[in-house]
Amino acid sequence: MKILFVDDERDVEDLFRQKFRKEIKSGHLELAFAFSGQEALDLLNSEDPPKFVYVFSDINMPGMSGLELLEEIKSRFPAIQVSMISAYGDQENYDKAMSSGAKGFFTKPVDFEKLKLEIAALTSGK
Amino acid sequence: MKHSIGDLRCMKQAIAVFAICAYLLPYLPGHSQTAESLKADMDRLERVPGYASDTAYLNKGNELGFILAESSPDSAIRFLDIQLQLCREANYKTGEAEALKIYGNALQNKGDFIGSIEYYTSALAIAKGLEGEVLVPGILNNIGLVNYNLGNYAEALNTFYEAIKGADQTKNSNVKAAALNNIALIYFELDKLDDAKEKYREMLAIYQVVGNQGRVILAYNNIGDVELKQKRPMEALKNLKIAYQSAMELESPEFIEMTSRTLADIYSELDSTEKAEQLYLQSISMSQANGYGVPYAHSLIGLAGLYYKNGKAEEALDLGKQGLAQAETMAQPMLMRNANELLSRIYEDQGNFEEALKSFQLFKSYNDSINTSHSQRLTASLEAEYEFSKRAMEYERASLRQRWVIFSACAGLVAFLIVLFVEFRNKKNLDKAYHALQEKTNEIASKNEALEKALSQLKAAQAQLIQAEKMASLGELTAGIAHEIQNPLNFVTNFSELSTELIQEIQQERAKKPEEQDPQLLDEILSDIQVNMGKIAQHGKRADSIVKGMLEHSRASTGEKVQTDVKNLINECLRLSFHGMRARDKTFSADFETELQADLPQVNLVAQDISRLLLNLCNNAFYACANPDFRRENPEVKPKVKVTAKIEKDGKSKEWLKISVTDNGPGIPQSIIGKIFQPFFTTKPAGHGTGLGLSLSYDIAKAHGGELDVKSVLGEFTTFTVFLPV
Ligand SMILES: [Mg+2]
Repeated sequence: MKILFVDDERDVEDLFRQKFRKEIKSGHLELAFAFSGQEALDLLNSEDPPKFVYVFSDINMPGMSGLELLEEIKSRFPAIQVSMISAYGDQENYDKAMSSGAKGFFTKPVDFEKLKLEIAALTSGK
Repeated sequence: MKHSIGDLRCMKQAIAVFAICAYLLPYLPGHSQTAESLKADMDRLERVPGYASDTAYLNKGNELGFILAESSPDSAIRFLDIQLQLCREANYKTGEAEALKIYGNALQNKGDFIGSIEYYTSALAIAKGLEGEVLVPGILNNIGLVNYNLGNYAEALNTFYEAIKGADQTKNSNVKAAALNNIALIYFELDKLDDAKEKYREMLAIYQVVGNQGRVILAYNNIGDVELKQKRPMEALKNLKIAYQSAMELESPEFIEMTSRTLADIYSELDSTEKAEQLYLQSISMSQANGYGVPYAHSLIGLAGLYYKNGKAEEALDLGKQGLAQAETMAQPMLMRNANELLSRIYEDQGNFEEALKSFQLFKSYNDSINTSHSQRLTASLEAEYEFSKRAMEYERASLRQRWVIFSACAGLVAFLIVLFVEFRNKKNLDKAYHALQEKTNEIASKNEALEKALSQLKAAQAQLIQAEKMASLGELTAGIAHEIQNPLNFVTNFSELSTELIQEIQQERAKKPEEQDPQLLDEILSDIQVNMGKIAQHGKRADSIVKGMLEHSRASTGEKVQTDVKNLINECLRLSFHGMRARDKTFSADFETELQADLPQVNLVAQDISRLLLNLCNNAFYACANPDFRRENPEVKPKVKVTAKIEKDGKSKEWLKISVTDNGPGIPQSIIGKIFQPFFTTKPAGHGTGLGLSLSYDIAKAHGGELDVKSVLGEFTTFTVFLPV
């Protein structure tokens, strides 16, 4: 199962790869990273249809914001699940994300147990 | 018939002009003695030893010389040579100047105009050195007359004007009147008859006051002459009757001749043939007897015209020939022209066509030369008149000013005396006033103190305001700062937690039996832990620098310059600004990019000041292109801020750090672009800006010896560029 993480902070990649070491090793998960909204869209567009089933995106990024990316993905690839991960866990961002079709909303610092459950639910649901 | 009479009238004026110059104008005021009585006086004085240096004797000599110059120029010249010698030996300057002038008169009467100018000029030089310059105006008037006779009307008018000015200053009304007469002559020749008449009337008024009967006669004669030319013979007759009556009373042959000649012209115009004939005959006989050459020619030709008009061709021919001969002797082109015209008509009537043609040809050539010189004179005199009126105005203004100066000096003196008097009378009041003044001084001193206090308060307020602006901008940044600290803190938290987990994994691995342990995994985990520790340190430092930056920003500037990594500074400010905007406006969305010269050197600058400047510029840029209103109205625009930095050399090879901040917002209208660096100028809604940001930024750039510029195109972009010396 392919999952895409989008964040302008590059160290996110190290963090998640270590967190999901076992899942990656076992082949349960395949992780990809993009560092801007545009990069994420380019990556999704490079496969037809994209093999990614889930995108986790930061909101606060230069250029295209995570919420804009959410709308783009939802309109182009409605099958892909999108959840937001943001430092700003306020109501306004939450409402905006949910109304745009986000599946979940995680705040930074990320609670990995919750995230793993979310991913696990996705796997089991399949 | 009428035509020829008109021409004859023109001719008459030329004679009148000559008569005035030659016989009448240079008369000295108060001159009453005859040549005989003067000679007798001189003979009497010669009996006294040393008479030759007696000024009374020398004055008598000049008076005699004057009369001789008019009656017999040649003998006058012989007499004046001796007179001049005597004056010089006696070192009698006034006498010498007078003698030189009279010499000039004699030469002028002989027709030697160039020679007369030389003598007048010498006379003028001496006269100007004498106290009061009393002789100057008269000499100037005579010089003007020579210029008039030479046809230099411009020069003549100027000189007459100078003469009038001098005459006013020396209160010499005779010379003033003479100069007025001469100006009138020029106007007469230029056909400015009303002006001429006005000048003659001014002259008449002066002579009536002075009581110079001869000159009063001249004035009436000349006014009548003008009126005749104006075709007002009845008015002319009235004036000439007065003049003739006066001349008879005076028993002066010159004036009787002159007035009878003018009367004859008038009667001829009125067709009173008998009266005209009688008067012409009187003029002819008197001129002949007294040797008045030009008047003689004038009356001969005038009578010839009268006879011709009345069918007496033979008499007309005879008189006309005599008149022509006389005119030729006197070298009078106007008279020669008129005589030839008359003769050609008479010859034609008699069938003598050969003579008629000869006369007509002569008439033509004189007429042409007269007309040519007349038109030249006209041109010159137009210029002269302009110059003349200009100078007349200057003179009037100057005399008015002089009167004003005298008046105000007197007024000032009177006022001063009054003040002195009052001051003296009110010494007590003065003391009181002095005390009042002292009180006022004290009052002013205390007011000054109050003002200084107010000023220092104002300065303190200003400093507070600047601090407030700093705090306000800090407030704007708080959210950005929080985010910027939050992110590294998250990493610190995540990586340290992760590392703890990894250590637990190692422990679990170690708890296994040795043969079940995976040494490769242990190595992997250990190296991850090492990387994580690096990350923790790195993000810790990142948060640290942000906090330090924030503190620096809020602290008052030390003004100390330090070598600064410009790239870091720019990146930090840009990110802070971006996240600040993002934090405060949930819908905020903008892109930014940097284009920083790769080998940007460290620059010596006050980092906290420059970072404030850059933060301001970045905040403004993000606000401009990404504020909610703008984005709503311009959904097609993708808000973007670009920061560039490079080193540039100016024309003097001086190196500058050039940092530009560009946004693709609405641009700044030309109408307000000049105001944006002014304190408290803001376009943001109330409560959204202090209006001090750009003003302080500008001050910071200036304090660094740099510049802050703005360039903007409406609907396209705005670029702020700061130049800092490297
Ligand atoms: Mg982010």
